[in-house]
Amino acid sequence: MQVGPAVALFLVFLAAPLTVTIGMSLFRTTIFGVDWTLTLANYAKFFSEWLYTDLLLKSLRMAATITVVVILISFPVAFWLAKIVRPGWKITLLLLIFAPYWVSYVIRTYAWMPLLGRTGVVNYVLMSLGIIDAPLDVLLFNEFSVQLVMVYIFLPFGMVPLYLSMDRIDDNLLRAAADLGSTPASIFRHIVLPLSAPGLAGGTITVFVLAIGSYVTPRLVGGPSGIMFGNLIADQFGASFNWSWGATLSIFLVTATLAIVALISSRVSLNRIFLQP
Amino acid sequence: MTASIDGPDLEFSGVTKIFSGRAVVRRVSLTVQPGEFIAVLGPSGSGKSTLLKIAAGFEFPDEGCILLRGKDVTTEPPYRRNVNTVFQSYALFPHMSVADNVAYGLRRKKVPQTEIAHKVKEALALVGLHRFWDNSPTTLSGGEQQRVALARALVNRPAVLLLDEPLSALDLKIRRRMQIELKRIHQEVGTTFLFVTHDQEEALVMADRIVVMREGALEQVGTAREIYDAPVTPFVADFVGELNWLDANASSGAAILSDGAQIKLPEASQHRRGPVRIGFRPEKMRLAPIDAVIGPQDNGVRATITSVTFQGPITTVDLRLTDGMIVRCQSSATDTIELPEKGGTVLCLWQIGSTLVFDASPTEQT
Repeated sequence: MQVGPAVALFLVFLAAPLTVTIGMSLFRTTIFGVDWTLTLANYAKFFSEWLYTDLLLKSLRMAATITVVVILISFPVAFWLAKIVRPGWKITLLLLIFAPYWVSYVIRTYAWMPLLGRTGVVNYVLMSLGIIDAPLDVLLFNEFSVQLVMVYIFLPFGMVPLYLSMDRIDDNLLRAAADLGSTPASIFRHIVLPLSAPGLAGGTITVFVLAIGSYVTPRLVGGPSGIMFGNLIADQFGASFNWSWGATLSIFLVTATLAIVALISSRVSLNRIFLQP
Repeated sequence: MTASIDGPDLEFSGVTKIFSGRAVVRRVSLTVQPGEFIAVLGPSGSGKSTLLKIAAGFEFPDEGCILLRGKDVTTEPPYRRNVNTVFQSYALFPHMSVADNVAYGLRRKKVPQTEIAHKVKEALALVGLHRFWDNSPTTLSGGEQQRVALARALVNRPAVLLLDEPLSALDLKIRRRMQIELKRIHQEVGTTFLFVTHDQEEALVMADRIVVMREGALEQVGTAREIYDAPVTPFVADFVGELNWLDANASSGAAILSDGAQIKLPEASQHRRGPVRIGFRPEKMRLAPIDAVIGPQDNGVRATITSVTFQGPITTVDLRLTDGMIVRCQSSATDTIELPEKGGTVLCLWQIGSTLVFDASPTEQT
């Protein structure tokens, strides 16, 4: 009985859509409509051109970069919040850090355009300071801007699990380690890092999964070179109206994502990530 | 073994610590000799734990200095001090086995692997836990965890072992056993112990010397006997053991109660004049029939029995003096006289030598 709700959720929100997606990928869409003969042609098409695998690999690389940067920023901030800030200040600082995230994700993405554009704030400041003569074009509508904006947008998803993990570490463990001869660096390596591993893995998985599936941010600030695999899929369900091809591309994305999650969870057990003991 | 032969192991010299404008430790000076077992005793908020944290290097004093085997370590971080701490909450690393916990300090010091294995085995044997080598500390009972914590600290052979209320999270029976165990370990390894506790019985049972703290300052330093039999302030007298208090007026070697009864003062207090507080321990008091003769070495007052409580090994009798003050008598059940029932009148006797005399309004020590 206890697994009932979980099974129902699983069937409605995971098994059913996935079955439909797999089913859809086994037919071909032609200009005359759907050809209802079972075929693996869509899968053959994926491997027939480097274009698709290249885009998938590029998207994986971008998502990985975003994840690494998010974690690198989150770690010290989460540690500072969990272990250094005085308890009375914690909630205020947490609210301050997350206040911007109450605004819609699309608006926050748009907000970067007047910052990074040709006539944007960054270029204006750099030019007024005489650091550059002409506005920089590399700031917007490319891979860099997509990654920068996504790091900003996904930061809390990395920070929160890390913060929660670190908040659970007993301060006396850090004291005990210092007492037994550990320098701050050694305390980090031997105590903080292993004990925050569940948060680290949880944050990594969440940010990576969110980043690899993104298509709004790349569309808004990516330009032609910042396009990601998500945009290709979205196009098949929109402009190109090729649902079976879109379904096939989705399956490749899901498989790649699952492989990464499996890789991470082989290092830290999922039990520890989601049910932090 | 590790104790140096010349000079003390640990010295606090005029140590003061201020937290948000309030001095939690006030000009504490204390010298701990090699191999001593010192108990720092005080109620919560007396600054005893802060004093220990200052010795460990988790807190730094605002004034004064700390010498460890003659070396000034006042500003040294914990990892550069040759002291180790046993925490009240054990603070075992949950992601490591018992053996890895114990080996932690030795690994940080880059001790060779074979030597570590040998020393860890020895330390775990010392606390009787060699069977739990591979266990996760989270699977052990509180008492066992505290033994691991003890082994983890002692394996490093610190100049001083700091123990921060290590037994207070354990239940009474295990606590009693650990007290004896700790004392045995102390004798076996010979390391200097600085033990913080709020439990006066624990301090009396275990320590060579007791340091009583109150509001950040040292109130009295002495052996268990000195602290118990000759407390220098009413606070110490009251905090260590139970005490009966009588208000009286001293003149020419005796103190007069409000009903006119006389309490003879011990030699050292003969000079006192004016209002005083008389103290005596419940277990140093005996009850006698009302018509008994008061000996030359005894003090005696008349009292009415208000309650008699049999507690197995002892019997507690509460009494009211004729002027209304309440006293308590505790004695072994067997040598109690044939007691009159509740409401009866008896003579309370105790030796002049065990009469404590203090100023009536104790001036606040600063």
